[in-house]
This record gives sequence, C-alpha cells and structure tokens, in this order.
Amino acid sequence: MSPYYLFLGLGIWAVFGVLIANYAKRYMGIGMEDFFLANRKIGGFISAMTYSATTFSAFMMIGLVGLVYSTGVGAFGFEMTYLMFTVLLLGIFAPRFWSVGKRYNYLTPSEMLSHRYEDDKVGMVSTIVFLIMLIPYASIQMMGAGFLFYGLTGGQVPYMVGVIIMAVFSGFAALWAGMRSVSWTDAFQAITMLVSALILLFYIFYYIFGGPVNFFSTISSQNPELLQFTWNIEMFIGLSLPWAFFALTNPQVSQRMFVSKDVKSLKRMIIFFSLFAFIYTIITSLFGFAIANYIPGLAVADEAMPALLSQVPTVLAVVIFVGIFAAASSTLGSVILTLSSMTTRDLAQPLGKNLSEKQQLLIGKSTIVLLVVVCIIFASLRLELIAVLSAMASGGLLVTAPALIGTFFWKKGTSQGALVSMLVGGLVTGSMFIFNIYPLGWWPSIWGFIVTIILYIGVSLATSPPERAEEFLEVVDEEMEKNGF
Amino acid sequence: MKISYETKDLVMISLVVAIVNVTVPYLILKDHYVYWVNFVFWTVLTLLVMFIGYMYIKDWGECE
Repeated sequence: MSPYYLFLGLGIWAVFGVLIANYAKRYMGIGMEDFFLANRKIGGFISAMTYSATTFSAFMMIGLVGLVYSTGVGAFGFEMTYLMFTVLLLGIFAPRFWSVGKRYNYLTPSEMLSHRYEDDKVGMVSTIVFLIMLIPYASIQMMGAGFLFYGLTGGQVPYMVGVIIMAVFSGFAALWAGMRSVSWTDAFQAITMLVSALILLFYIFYYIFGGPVNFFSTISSQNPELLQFTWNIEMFIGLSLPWAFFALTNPQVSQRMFVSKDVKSLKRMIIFFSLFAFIYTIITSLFGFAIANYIPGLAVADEAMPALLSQVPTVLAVVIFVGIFAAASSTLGSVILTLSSMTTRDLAQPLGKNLSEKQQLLIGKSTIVLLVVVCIIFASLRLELIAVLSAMASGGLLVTAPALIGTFFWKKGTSQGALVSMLVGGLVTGSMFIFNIYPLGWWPSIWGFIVTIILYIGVSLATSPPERAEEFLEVVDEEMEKNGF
Repeated sequence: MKISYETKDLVMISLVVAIVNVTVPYLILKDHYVYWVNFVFWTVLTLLVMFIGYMYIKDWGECE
C-alpha cells in the first residue's frame, strides 16, 4: 500500500484528535487532581469510553485475531473470561475505590495502598512493580505501530517512523490536558475502534462470505477444528487468571474508578463498558475465524490481520489501520499518564517530602516526557525480552492483587505482608517467566499468585496490623452507605 | 467492617462463574464443535454475568 494513503487517513483522523485534546484543555483547572483525574468530574459515557479504549490495546485486532486464527474458540473463551470477571470486579471494587478516593483525595491506587497500610513503602514498591511491568507493555504499543507501518507499506515507511508517530500522538494526548485530554481523545478513539471493526465485519460478512448465515455455516463445515476447544487447562488458566484480575491489578484502569463525577456516572461507566467490550470481543474473535478460512496457512499468527488488510480495498484497509492505531495509542497515552501520576505521587513525593503542588505537577509532566523517551528507546532496541516482559505484564501485576483485596476486606492485612508478598511474588513470577520455568506445566503467573497469597496472609498474621486499618474499613462502610451503594 | 449481602452474593457468583467457566468446557463441551456450541456457551455465560452485574448496580445512588 502506498504510504500516501496511510498518512492521509491517519492525518485526517489525528487532526480531529488534536482538536478534541485542545478543546479538553479549555476546561482545565489547576493542580494535580485536575491534571491527573480531571478533578473527578468525568461523566458516565466518557468514563466508559476511556475505560474501554485504555483496556483494549492493539492486542485485540492483532494478538487476539491471531490467537483465534491459530488456536480457535479457546481464545474467545479466554477473552470472555476477562470480561465476565471485570464486570464482577467492578461491581465489588468500583464503589469502594470511588468512595474512599473521594473521601481521602487519592490520586493513584498506590497512594490508597500507602494510606491504608500506613506505610509509604507499600505505595513505592507497588509503583515500582507497576513501572517494571507496564513500561514494556507501553513500548510494545509503539513497536506494534512501527511494524504495522513498515509491513503495510512494504517497508517504504521505516519502523522507527511508526514508533515516533505513535509516541508523539500519545504523549501529546497525555501532556496537553492530562486526564481530560486523555479521556476525551480516548472516547474518540474508542468510537473509531468500534466503528472501524464494524465496517470490516460488514465487509467480511457480505463481500467475502455472502452473508452472516453463510459465514457461520462455512466456518462450521470448512474449519470445524477452530470451533473445538483444544486449549490445555494449564494454558487456559495460565492466561485467563491474570486477565480475570486485570480490572484490579492494572493501575491505568483501576485509576479510572476514581474519576467519575457521581454515582450515576460510575454506574454508566460499568454498563457502557460492558456493552462495548462484549461487542468488540465478539467482532474481533470473528475476524480470527474469517481469516483462518479466507487466508489459511500463515506461519505467524500475528500476521493474520495485516494479511487481511493487504487483500481488502485500500480505503477499508486505511480505516482499519486507523482503528488499530487508535487502540494502541489510547492504551499507551493512558498507561503513560497513570505511571507519571504514580511516579510523582508515590515515589517523588514521599522521597522529596513537602513538595508543593506546582513542583509535583512539574515532576508529573516531566515524567510523561521521560516515559515517552524511555519507551521509544525500548521500542528502538526491538529486544525479544521486551515482548516477553510485555506478555508477563498481566501475570506480574497479579502480585498486587492480595494487597489490593486486603485493603478493603481484611483488617489484619499489614504493610509487611503487602511489601513481602509484592516483592517476593514479583521476583518469583518474573524469574520464572524470563527463564521459562513452568513447574508441572503450570504457568509462572499461577505459581507467583500462590506464593503471593501465602506470603500476604502469613506475614500479615505474624505482624501487627496498622491502627488505621480498622478506621479505614469503617470509613469505607460509612462512605458506601452515604453514597447509596 | 460490614460486608453487605449483595457483596457476598457477588463474591459467591464469581466463584460459581469461575468453576462453571472451567468445568463445563473441559468436562462437557471439549469434544463438541457442532453449531458453534463452545462459542455460544461463552457468549451466553458472559451475557448472564452482564445481566447479573446490571441487576446488582442498577439501584446504586438511589438513596443519595
């Protein structure tokens, strides 16, 4: 494909993105809470769209499509498992995060941990875990853009040009007006993702298979192996378990439980996100089945979607390309904004002591630039390790789950329990992933999670809970009741 | 600390979903592929969970 079309399509789309970000800036106030949480004034629809666009990265249109292409319906089950548990976790945790966030003015999930466990080190360690796990995950979004530009244009656009374009757009969305510009552009990007996917689905149904009925019957008769559940249980649980806890353990999404302007908005966020996720997951999974039938025999599963794009009309390919770019850039912008808020609030603030609001904001904005540069450097190296670390992200972040659950449901949970469980659990999971150790065939995330739970409970029982624990849980009950949950 | 009946119910439902989500595909559906049965199973189970989620949250904020 000629680079001209890609740049034209992306350029037109990006102009709208920049205008939206700029419009968002008009409503910007002052201070950390305004920059990083949009002053907790985000409405229900925008909350839902930023939650959706942040959650769904380019993985859906490239990785999930490829996984269905190569392994069939098991990949769909894995992704639906994520959605089911996200709905359940949001039902349990969203009112609690939102209530205490408002009461104590928490900016980040790590700040909440520090306060509940009465120890800044808990927030610092969790922030370090989040940084280690999410910087490779952010870099892989840039790498995806680089490979996509390069692949679709037959090498006419160098890899690094794609990386830089992605970095500039996401960095701009985060820096321009913080959470306001990120969430508003996220909404635009979520709509782009869904509309472009629906257009492609329509094309596949009617132009390739001659109608939805023919599509389903063709796959049934010609690709029955893809409709059979062939995943072994170790792989299904190994992949599904970390994703089942994604809503709790990934700070870029859990921070969004703080931003809704009222209870009605929080409720709408969950409902609209569920609908978006349900439709988007079904569509992207169907793409995997369709490509397996239409373009069989690809050696690399992740090439399924790019291979399809090379065979559809140029205008459609450009629209889908923009949809994939939007998915990646919205995730990247949100991850960078969240990591910068935690670096400022949970690392710099406790270490620097008494930093003024202005100084914190300056550190936060500088961190956005720094993180973008770090991710560009990572992406430029194209290390195999980055792909491994990125795949490890959700498994690695699982080590924060016991401390987060204990925050709200176990008053005996202590800072020592939280610290030891995250540190040792993180080291165990990370080492097993890097050295490819799968005892008894079970995935590192499962072993890491078991170690984390045992350590959190064991160490907490052996130490004294902070005085604040009981008071914190009473405040949770009080605020929940006051807000009508 | 009080854990409401509703939260306890949601935790119980999560456990049931976790069990059903693994046992049904592995014990009942694993060798079947006709009529997209696995695909339909996860679609229906997810819709059911979304409905339960909706029923759970629909009255939030009513006593504000």
